[in-house]
Amino acid sequence: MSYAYLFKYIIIGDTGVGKSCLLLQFTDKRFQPVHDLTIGVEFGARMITIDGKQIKLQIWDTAGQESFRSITRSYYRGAAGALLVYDITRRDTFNHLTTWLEDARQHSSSNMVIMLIGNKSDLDSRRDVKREEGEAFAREHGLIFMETSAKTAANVEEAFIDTAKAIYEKIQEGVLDINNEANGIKIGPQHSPAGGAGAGAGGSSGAGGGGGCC
Amino acid sequence: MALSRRFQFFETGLLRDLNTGESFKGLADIEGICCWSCGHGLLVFGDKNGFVYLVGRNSDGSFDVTNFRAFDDSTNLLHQFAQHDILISVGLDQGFNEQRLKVWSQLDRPEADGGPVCSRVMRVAIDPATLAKQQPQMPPPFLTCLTAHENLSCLLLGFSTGVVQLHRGDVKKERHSRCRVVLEADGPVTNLHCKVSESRVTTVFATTDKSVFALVITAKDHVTKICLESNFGAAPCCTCLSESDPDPQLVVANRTVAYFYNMDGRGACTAFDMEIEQLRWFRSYLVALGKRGSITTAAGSQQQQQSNALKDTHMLTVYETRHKFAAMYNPFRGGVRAILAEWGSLLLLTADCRLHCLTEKDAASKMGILFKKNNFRLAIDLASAMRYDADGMAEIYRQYADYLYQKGDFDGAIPEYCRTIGHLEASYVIRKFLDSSRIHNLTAYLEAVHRARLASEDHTTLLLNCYSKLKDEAKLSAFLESKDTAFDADTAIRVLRQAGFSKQALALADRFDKHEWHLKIQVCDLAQHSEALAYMAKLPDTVAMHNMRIYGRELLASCPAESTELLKKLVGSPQVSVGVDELAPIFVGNPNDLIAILEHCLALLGSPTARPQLTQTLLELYIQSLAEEPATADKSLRDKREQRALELLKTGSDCYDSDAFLLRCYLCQFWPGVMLLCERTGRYDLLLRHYTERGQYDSLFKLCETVGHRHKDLWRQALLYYARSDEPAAQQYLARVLEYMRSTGLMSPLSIVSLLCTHSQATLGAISSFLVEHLRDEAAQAEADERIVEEARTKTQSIQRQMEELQLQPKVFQNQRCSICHSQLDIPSVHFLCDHSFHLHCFQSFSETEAECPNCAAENREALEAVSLWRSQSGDSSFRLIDTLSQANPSATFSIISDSIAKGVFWNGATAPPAPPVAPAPAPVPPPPQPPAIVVAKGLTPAAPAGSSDSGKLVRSSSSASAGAPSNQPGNTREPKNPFEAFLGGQPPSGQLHQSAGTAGSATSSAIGMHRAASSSGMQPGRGATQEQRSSAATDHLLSSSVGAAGGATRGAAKKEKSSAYPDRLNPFGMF
Repeated sequence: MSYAYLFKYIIIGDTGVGKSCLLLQFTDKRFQPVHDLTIGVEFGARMITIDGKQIKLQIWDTAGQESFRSITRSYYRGAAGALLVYDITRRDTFNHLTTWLEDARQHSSSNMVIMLIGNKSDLDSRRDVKREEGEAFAREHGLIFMETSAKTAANVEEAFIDTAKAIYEKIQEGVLDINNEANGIKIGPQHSPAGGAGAGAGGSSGAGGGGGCC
Repeated sequence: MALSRRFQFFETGLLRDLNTGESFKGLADIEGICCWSCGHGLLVFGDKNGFVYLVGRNSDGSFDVTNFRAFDDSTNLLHQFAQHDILISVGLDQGFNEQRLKVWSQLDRPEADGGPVCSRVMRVAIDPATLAKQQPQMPPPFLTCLTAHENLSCLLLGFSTGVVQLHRGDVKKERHSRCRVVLEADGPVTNLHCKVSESRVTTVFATTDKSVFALVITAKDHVTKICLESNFGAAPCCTCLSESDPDPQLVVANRTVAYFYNMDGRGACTAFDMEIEQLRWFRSYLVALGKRGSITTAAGSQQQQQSNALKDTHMLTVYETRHKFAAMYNPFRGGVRAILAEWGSLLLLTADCRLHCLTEKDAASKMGILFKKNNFRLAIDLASAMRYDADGMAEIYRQYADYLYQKGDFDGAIPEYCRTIGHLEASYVIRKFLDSSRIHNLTAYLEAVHRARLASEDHTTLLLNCYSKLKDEAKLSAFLESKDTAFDADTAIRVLRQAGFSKQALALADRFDKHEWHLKIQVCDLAQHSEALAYMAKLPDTVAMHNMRIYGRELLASCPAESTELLKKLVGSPQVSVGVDELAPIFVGNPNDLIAILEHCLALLGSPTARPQLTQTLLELYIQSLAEEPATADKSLRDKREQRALELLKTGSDCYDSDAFLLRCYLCQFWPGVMLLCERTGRYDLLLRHYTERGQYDSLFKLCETVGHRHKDLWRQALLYYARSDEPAAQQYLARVLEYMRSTGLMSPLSIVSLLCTHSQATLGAISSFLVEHLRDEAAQAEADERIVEEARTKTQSIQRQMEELQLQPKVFQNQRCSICHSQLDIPSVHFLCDHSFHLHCFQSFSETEAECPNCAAENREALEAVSLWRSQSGDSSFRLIDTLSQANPSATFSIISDSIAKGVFWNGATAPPAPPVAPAPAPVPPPPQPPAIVVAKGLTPAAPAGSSDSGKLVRSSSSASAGAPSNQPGNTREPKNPFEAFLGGQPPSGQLHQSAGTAGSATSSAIGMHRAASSSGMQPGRGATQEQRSSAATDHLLSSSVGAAGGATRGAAKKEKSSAYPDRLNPFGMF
């Protein structure tokens, strides 16, 4: 399937905040009430359309446990967007946001778009973190904020797509260098500028018998 | 950091010889195993001494271990092709300061024959250009890993210098081999993997200790290098190619994490709770071998760890990458050196050179394990991945659902139960959810059953009941309108009606064209009668009629006009045949409409006889309505009905049972009808009774007048009735009745008088005039009788005189014409005493016997035969006569007696005349001979006509009767019986009487004639005496017969003169 751009995402946040469920809801449109711990890093992909352009989202769903932090760190590089997730019913997950944000800023490119997501909005009765607090945190750190529910799928699409829009805008503004793979953006096989493709990008498309190589 | 899901999907144990049951120890005495490989049914091990050991398994389950020396010094690397009997080995030979690569084939050749064949020996050398770059003081490069593709055309060698060589061409042969350096990395190459795609693009994964590369090499050896990982590399044996994906994926173990790479770069990763030392792909599993203890230790103490690595316990994790669970997680004490996969099992070579065998359990056992751990979700995923059949899947779903149910998670159980639909008996589930608190779940399940189009009637019923219990009309409507549910419409409608969802039921009935249901709901539930009628009008006539039969009554009650209209239309339809018995129930209590309908039907049919039942019913209705409705109700209608009823009674007489209708008319007091029917059936007594009860003298008398001549009893009853009544009008009518009685002689005066005497109301004055009149009549009658007697007497005398004349006087034959040809008589001629004369030739040609007058013969014979027949009949003739008399009409008594006398019944006694034929012989009496008197004299003058006019009349009549005799020859035997029978029958028509009288008379005359001829001429002396005797007997007989006959004739004549309606005149004193 051809695409104009490929954006790499990474989902981070404390364990049990619903990162895997968000991904599952976004890619498969289903919800699994019982989900095993993510061991390592999992992977999902979906096509979306922004501004009439097909954009492939490649999403890394990381393990939230502290012990996997080192593995997670190795995945920051080359991510164009990050979903920083906390659980609105668990304040500690909100409190750890600073750590996560530090990690992300440290290991990723400075242009990475980070969206703050307060998940489990369906469990409003058990809410522990106010919406305003989340908004305040986002404002303070220059993040986009959204409350979602992976269970009811509320705002899930929006979370991913709005992030993609933000990245896309950055591309349009020229803030992001699309030819630098470290920014987590790839140009699709057909859309790569003639002859100007980087070695890595060209190589990957060459395996599929794509255009630009020969 | 343990994997949350761990199962024992593998059975572990030492590799055992299936024959002996002993564990395999073939490698126990080998020291220094340094390399290994497996494939093509072989485990291959190389040791430090240059030996290669081959472990093969025989078909009987035992193992063979063979070895051969591959190298003089040591064996470094081995690669056994999986599908070829080819082994590549790399080692050191004495005398060579570089590694040599040897390719072996025929590995199973016994040692005695020289062992495996070495087909190729190759110097492993690095490209001179590369060597030139090499620093001289550095150790010489050596081969660190190798791989070859199964197509035998591609060999990859990795060197300690980071060079990867690609050798194209037949692996087995030196010739045509092209070598090319495809990668020059910065560290020793640790692992090599290659895969050739269909487009002959070779993909090579190479790892060094620092990085991971992918090489895409086209058929033209165009190489594209991709650096997949630059942060870390992999130790030897710490990579493998995943085989579960179509795209090659490299798995690289780095410390505790296994990273997955494809051509795009790093993908997902999985962490293990151990430091991974070896990786291998087995079926769909990633097999990782490592040590747990090293995880927490810092990198600095690595060397210390390595020193006692073999003594430490190895952990083996078999990880299912797709469903993310550990299919096995086992510690191996003492350490594991190698992971191999052959013979369908995983084989572990332990440090003590023993082989452990890990065999995957079968699917059922795996499922069992999962069920035991209540891990149904995974079981379902696995089963579908293993392509379980639908029944198997359903069973898993059921177990899962049961588990959830037991846990109390009913909402969760239902979706799982829904998946079992079609395999699991629905009642199993339904029974579990019958509790009213779980009605939502039950509803959901039943909906699913319906969606699956597997619902039975009971399911539909239950579901609809659920809806009605839940009072969820919206859901109900949604269910009913949904296109992808299948249910039995009839059941649904029935249940909906019961639950009171009439509207929905109606909609459903419309949708499924269930006209009967529609109407039932309209009529019975919603009471929308006019709508029902409108609906019915649109239906096919036959269907509409059927429904009309059912609902007609109710519809008629509420919308009579419309219903009647519709019915009229239906009745007129050619497709519908409506019986009256079907219509009638509809119109119970509504006869007027029924009449209207029936009239309509009748008008359509045209003729009342076309449908007898219809006519009959209509008639009944008419009569009934006339009887029930008060006369004042509607005069014109009443009259019209009456008229129509009468018309029908008249025209449709074939259609009904007159008696029944007479009774009906009588009971309903429909007198015109009674009249009509009485006339038809002759039951005037009913009518009469009616008149008498009501005192309608006038009508009664009119009745008597109109039909009394046929039914005389009416008169008698009328008389009785008038006599009883004391009203003046009655007296008047009594006189008229008596007048009639008198004029017709219906009753004898005596009986009238006796009848009237019993009722005191009648006065003598009332009947005096009658009696006077009657006496006058009697007197006149007596006079007339006397006159007749006188006549008869005169006649008798004349006959006696004639007889005397015949006996004593000469007879003059004066006939001038022949009685046969009626021409002038001439000689020779024959004359008979009966005054018949013939030409001789006429006579001879005409007569049958010479002794008889041909003209009289037939009559004579008839008379004689009648007599003989009477006698020939068995039994005493006098008894027979009594029988006949008792049976006969009283009025015929005299004629019978006289007839009997004529036939000689009373001659049977002692005073009987001496006549031989009178004997009661069965044989017919021979006719008395009648010798013809032949007159030869010429010029004989014809005799003057003898006898009175009466006798002449008799003769004439006789001749006329006998004229037909010859032609009636065949019927002759019966002919004479006729008059006789007529007599016995008692009521002979007057014409017949005459004939018989004539017969008797002619017999007399001919007998007389014969007698005369016989006695006077005496022409046959021989037979004279006896003949005379006989003749006289016959004459006597005939005479008496003729007298009787005369009497009968007289009486017949009298009868003819009088009215035939007065047969009892001769015995006026009532023999009845």
